[in-house]
Amino acid sequence: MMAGGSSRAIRIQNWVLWAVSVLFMTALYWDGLRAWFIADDFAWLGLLRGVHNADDLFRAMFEPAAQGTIRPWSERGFFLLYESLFGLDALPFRLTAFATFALDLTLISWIARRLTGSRIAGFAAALIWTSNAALATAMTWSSAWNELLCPLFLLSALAFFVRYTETGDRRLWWAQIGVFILGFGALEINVVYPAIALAWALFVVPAERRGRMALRAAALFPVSVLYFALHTLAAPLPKTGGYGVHVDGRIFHTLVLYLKFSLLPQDWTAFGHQAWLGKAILIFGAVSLVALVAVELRAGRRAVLFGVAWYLATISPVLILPDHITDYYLTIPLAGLGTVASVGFSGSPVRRAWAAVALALYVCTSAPVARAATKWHQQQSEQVRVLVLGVEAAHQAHPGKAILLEGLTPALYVNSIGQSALYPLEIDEVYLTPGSEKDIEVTGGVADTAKTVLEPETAIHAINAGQALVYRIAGDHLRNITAVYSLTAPAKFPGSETAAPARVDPGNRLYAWTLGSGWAKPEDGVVWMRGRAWIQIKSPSQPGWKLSLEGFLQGEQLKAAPRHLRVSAEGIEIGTTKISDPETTFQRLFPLPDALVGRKTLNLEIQIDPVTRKGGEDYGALFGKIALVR
Amino acid sequence: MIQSITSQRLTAITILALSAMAIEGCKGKHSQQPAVKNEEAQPVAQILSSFKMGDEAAQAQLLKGFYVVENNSWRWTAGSFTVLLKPPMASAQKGGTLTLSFSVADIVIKKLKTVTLTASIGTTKLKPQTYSQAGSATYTVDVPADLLAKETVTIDFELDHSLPPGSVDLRELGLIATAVGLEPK
Repeated sequence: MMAGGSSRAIRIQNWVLWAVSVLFMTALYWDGLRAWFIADDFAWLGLLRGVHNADDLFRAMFEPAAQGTIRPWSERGFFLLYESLFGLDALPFRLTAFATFALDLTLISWIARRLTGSRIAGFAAALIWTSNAALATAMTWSSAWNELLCPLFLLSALAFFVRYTETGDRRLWWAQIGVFILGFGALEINVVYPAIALAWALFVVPAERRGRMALRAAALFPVSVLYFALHTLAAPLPKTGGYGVHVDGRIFHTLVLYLKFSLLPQDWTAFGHQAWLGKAILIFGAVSLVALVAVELRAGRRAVLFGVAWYLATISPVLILPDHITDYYLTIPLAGLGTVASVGFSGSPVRRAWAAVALALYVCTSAPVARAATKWHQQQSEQVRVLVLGVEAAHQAHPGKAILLEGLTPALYVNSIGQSALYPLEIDEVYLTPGSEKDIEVTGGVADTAKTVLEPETAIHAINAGQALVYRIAGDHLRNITAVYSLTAPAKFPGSETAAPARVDPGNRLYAWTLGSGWAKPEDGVVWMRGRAWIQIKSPSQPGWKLSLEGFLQGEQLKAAPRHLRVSAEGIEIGTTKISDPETTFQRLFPLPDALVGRKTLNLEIQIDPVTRKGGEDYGALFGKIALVR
Repeated sequence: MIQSITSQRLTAITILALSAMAIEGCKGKHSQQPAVKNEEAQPVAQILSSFKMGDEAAQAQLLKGFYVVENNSWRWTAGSFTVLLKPPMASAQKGGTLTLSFSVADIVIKKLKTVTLTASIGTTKLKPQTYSQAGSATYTVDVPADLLAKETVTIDFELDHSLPPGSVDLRELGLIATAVGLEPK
């Protein structure tokens, strides 16, 4: 009876501690539940639009991304499934992220309890992991769900391994392997799992079973090696760019930075805190942890090294990315920090008191920054929500009209239009007003403003022709400013009302007015030229400009015969070229003679020979972009 | 054994919580994700004769050289900036007065000592004025009637000096503009 009562009390205590840790997490990151989609999310949300059959689905799930990642569960599958169920409602995505982290906390508490035998230590491990400001990104950004799902696989596999080492039940061993292999679909960091299992075997398993279990854990390494080999074959490691892999001395510098961010928020001073106070906290935290590890090792207790091993193993894959240092990569390693620190909550009352003070300082330091960072992320995503759903509302109110957006901040551009945020909604005719490009710095992976900003001539013509409307962001909605914009634009861009643009996309209906004779009817954003076609383009204001032609010919056309292209402007020949198999996609640059400088408009004549004749019609070539370039 | 039972209990509770969250998540529309209602009604589009920098309705009249509005009341300008104004009634007969209200920042005077502001309409330059003290200031200049005999008038402002990008800010900085307007004489 007594034993039953005691066990019930323990269960209640465990449940209460778990509930408190999850409630603390929910309260701290509450704004993360309200966050909307942002930046990379739209690349994943755009996948569904291209899925029409099983082949499309397979490609969408497993084709490597630009950074060389293949994460079918945590990115592609997650977004494909949830978008098909909930559309662009972000709440189910966010709830799933929170639920995932709640499971992570459950498991890390269980692991820490196994290490220390202390329920308070388990609670402390969860609290330390949760409080770190580096989690703000993963707790607000659906594209970073992989950082929460990966530890769920790692910790679940480890839990099976732990129970296997305790019971010898082989079903647990195989369950571990199954979870481990599935974990590769969440994040590449899963590759370090064998090192984590080995660390448990070496530092935690009692001596009598240690050797056997270490050998067992070592047997997992070939799985990781095989995965790494296959992954590298499918998506070679990038050598350049932000995700370029560099194995050199910078690894140590990167490690030191991540260690620093683990103890003190990366944005400590940005939130108005004193730098000296940050240094003091950093030193106090580092000294406390080192002292704890030293005391434990001196006493012959090696379990504390498991947390160290977790941290180092899970941070190691990102140490070779010195050009992409971001605190959210700490999401998984920080579980190791929590595990190390939790050891401080076992042992003498003095040590526990010391650990409690350190924990209080850590939480007081990090949690407010985590909360503020979460709020900031949520506000950024709210602006994106207003823009994307505002454009959707405008599109529904004015079907068939192109939407021009005025007054986007650079950050909003990078987080939305620059990431094709309207593509998932199948709204393709969304542009920025002329001049918007001046403030926007385009970096890798963001749409070039040359494609997203309309030139004044095109914009003014589209507005005057009733093809386009202009909207400006006004707080929580968009405001239709077409009327006032059309009044002021001619003064802002003098001469644009009567000139042709310097860039023409013949297949885009907004440029239809620049096409002369010799063009077929546009279909699906492309238009065929016949054997001879005319088009208007802006005249260069100075010598030294070139005419750029980008086009497309079908493979069978080129296999039948090479094509000869001749271009002239205002009757002056500016270039001829030959296009042969297999150059189906071609680009040519023709210098413009000085005689063409300073005119209002250039009438271009493009001839192609021979043409393909089908159904009584001539088909010459498709043109993507015709533009003046330096 | 006890820990095993507790663990099973925790797992069951977690699964229940997860299920509850999933059910809640499946309910479609959510109060936290309200639709965006745009402002479609456009007031009669008009060009104003004078306006304050925070006036949302006049933003399109800032043709170039103005940065983002701050505190809903002022904007930094670049070294040259342009506005579009509507000549007020009777100004085409009697002429008008152009007024730009602004502040000269301390840092501008410290670095540049003085700044001279000149407005021009088309090719006609209006009378320049020089400022050598930091603080609020007004540029006021008479505008001949013949320059105002149009529906709208584009007015270019130019400073003889400005703070280049990178010296104080990443932007080129001129004045802190608060209002601009044309009044009849």
